[in-house]
Amino acid sequence: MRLRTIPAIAAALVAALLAAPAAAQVAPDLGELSLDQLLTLRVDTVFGASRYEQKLTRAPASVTIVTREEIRRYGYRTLADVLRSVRGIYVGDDRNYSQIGVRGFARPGDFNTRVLLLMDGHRLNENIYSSALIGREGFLDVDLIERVEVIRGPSSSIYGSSAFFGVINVVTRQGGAVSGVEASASAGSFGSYEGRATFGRKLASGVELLASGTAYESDGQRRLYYPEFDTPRTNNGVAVDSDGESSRSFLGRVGYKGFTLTGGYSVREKTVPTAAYGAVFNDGNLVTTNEKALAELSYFRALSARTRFTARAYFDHDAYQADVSRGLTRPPAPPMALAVHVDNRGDTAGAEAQVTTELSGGHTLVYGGEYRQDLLIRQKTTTGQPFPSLNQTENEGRSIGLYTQGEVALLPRLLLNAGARYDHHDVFGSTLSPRIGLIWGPAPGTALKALYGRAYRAPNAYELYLDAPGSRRANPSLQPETVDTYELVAEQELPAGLRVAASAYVYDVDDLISHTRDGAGILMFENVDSVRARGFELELDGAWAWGFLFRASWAIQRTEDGRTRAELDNSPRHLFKLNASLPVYRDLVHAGLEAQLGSGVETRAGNQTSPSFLVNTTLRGKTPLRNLEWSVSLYNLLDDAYAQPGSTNHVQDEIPQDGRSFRVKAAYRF
Amino acid sequence: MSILRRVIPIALICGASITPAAEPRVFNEFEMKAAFLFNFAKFVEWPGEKGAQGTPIVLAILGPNPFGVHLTNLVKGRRINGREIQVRQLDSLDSARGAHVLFVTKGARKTAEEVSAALGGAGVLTVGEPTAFSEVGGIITFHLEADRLSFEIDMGEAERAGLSISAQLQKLASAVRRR
Repeated sequence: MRLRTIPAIAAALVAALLAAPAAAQVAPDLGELSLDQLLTLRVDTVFGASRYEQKLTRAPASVTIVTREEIRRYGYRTLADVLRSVRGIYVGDDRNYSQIGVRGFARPGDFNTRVLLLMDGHRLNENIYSSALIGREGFLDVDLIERVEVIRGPSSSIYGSSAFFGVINVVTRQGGAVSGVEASASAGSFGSYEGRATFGRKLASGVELLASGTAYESDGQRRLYYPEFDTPRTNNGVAVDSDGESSRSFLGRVGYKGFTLTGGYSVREKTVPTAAYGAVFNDGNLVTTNEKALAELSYFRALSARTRFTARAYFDHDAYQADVSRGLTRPPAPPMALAVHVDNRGDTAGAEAQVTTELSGGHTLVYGGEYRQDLLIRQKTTTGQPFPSLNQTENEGRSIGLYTQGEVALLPRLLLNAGARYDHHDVFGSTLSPRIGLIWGPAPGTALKALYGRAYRAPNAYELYLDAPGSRRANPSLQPETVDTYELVAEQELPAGLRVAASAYVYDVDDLISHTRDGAGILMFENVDSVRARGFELELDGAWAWGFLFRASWAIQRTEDGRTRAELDNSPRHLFKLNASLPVYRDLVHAGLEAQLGSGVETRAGNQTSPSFLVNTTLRGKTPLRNLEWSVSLYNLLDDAYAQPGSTNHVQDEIPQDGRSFRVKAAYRF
Repeated sequence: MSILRRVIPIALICGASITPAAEPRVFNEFEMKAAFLFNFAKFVEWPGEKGAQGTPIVLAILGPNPFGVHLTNLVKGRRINGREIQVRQLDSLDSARGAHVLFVTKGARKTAEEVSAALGGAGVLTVGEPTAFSEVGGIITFHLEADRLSFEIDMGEAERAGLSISAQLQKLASAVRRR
């Protein structure tokens, strides 16, 4: 797309912002609703910011919520789709994993290690690379999501490691909310098919059940052209039939009297067409597999009307496998390949407990602790002929965390939210992560927040321990990365369901773990880099009872290297987003439009990608009895050719993203 | 580009002209609580002259008003059993005895015992929020569970206040207690 279209789109967004209040005159009249109808309505709250339900305006962070209704109305297929719509967040896909960029930070090649992903408070980042997986490789089917809370900024003060640039807390649907059997099926471009069956019920005895399974298969793009490989020996740069994907996931839950037992399993297998990791191009043999299994027992008890106790014990198993046939020779030499098999595994068990107390006068106090043990982290690589080898490291790790947070009403309209978490990891020692926020509500519906926070990311097992004689050295003396953040947030509720939010921030990242080479040219990781990110974000959103949903945002950011002041790779200067959905036939058929505009970014080679302009539309309908729900979605309607930068794993400097595609979906409730 | 330029205005124009339909959405907490208060008043019978036809039903707020304009807008033009509804902002507990419904905000900094002692037997339906007002003395207490509002009723306290609360309201409560 051309650059001069940006002002036109910006003008359209502004026009939309200005026009929206006119449409808002049809406000909900809650006075017409009966009590039992009122009991079904939902209040704007967030859990993940402080580990208890609190009003958005009281949260010590800038928060965006995406609801289940929005997921359906905009035809989101994965968590990556959900996050792409959120203010200031950008998501890329290297045809293997999806990558989240937050606050202008997304280093090509590292996968979401500085964002903490939670499912109902359960940490989903795996323990080998500490990645939060958000595409099909992720754990959860989006159809099981009740809402997604995107909490910007540091939350290590309550969650510990990885809650660095933000926390994504996914709240899942309860069995009682499903209340029956649901089945859904979808088909889309690139030979993609998905099916899901879900059962959920709350029995009269108080037992709540949920069981759901999802299967997904996709052929992927039949032909992908990469000019970097355009030689006769490498099929003139065309990767044929090597973009397939297959995933399965299962989630089950039983709840009774405060106890909830959750179990889940997911596996995703992806054929990677990009010849990443030095693979032979177009041999269809580069396949990665991600697997996760988890079990959790949680307990909730109201100790008194003001004090709640929650606890959980969990076990997580993650596995990563990759088959790469690595090219050893360059043309014109005869081709020779080395089969490399990576078989990594991480098992973690842990327990945590928390007490939340509400004191008279509007104060809330939270305190808790967590013990976490990495039972086994295995990184194993084997190679075949002509250089057979076995390289394996096995490690363990332990950490303990203690945290407290208080929300204190200093004055009737002035809240102090302060907290800190102390963590001790047996690898690198102790960290202290404070967060402090002053939240002033000069009038009902207005919140002004001044926030400071410090967060850390523990070095992961891959950075600490991976050792390959002759090419890579372990560095067990790595220290955590840290970030100090300063942010001002203003939120104002406007009449008729509108809300405007603005945020300005400065983030200083220190001791960033980066690839370096030692004297002998061997790759290793060291705490060497620093980064300063600055930005401003503005958002307007609204929801009206007659069915109109609306969200528009603009983020401007600059993220630069602390020493050289050079702008970072893969850091778009501007991000514009618009989401609008409205009923087109009673409350039965809704049309959703989504527009996302991002500046071009710098690539590793110093080139500039072209700006991206994505438009997605979804038409979603229900039958009058609401048993059947259908949707038709068109993604990248304008067939914009946009790309994300390649990483050091790629020969490509830019990885083109998908063009226009579609999906049709139907869900039936029995 | 021209597509977007056309779509947005059209979408907005279409949107404004479509008939309202009630689709559950996310609402402001106090917009919701205002609607609950109004509804509670429909299910309560007041003793003596408070129950008299022709007099207004008084919804009073103690503590900093968290409703903004939501409560006054909501009751505007509405009646309960033919009776008008008035919203009053109170400065102190002493002036609360004349109210039909008293919402004690978190910011009021009154303990449940203080409220109960000041209003005992005056026929005031006290409604509180858990932080400042819950274990004893509150007749109705709001709870926010996940993102849904619910309420519990203390029938013992209702009887002491001389109020009769309909069975229908008790059925909708998340808990009915007697202390």
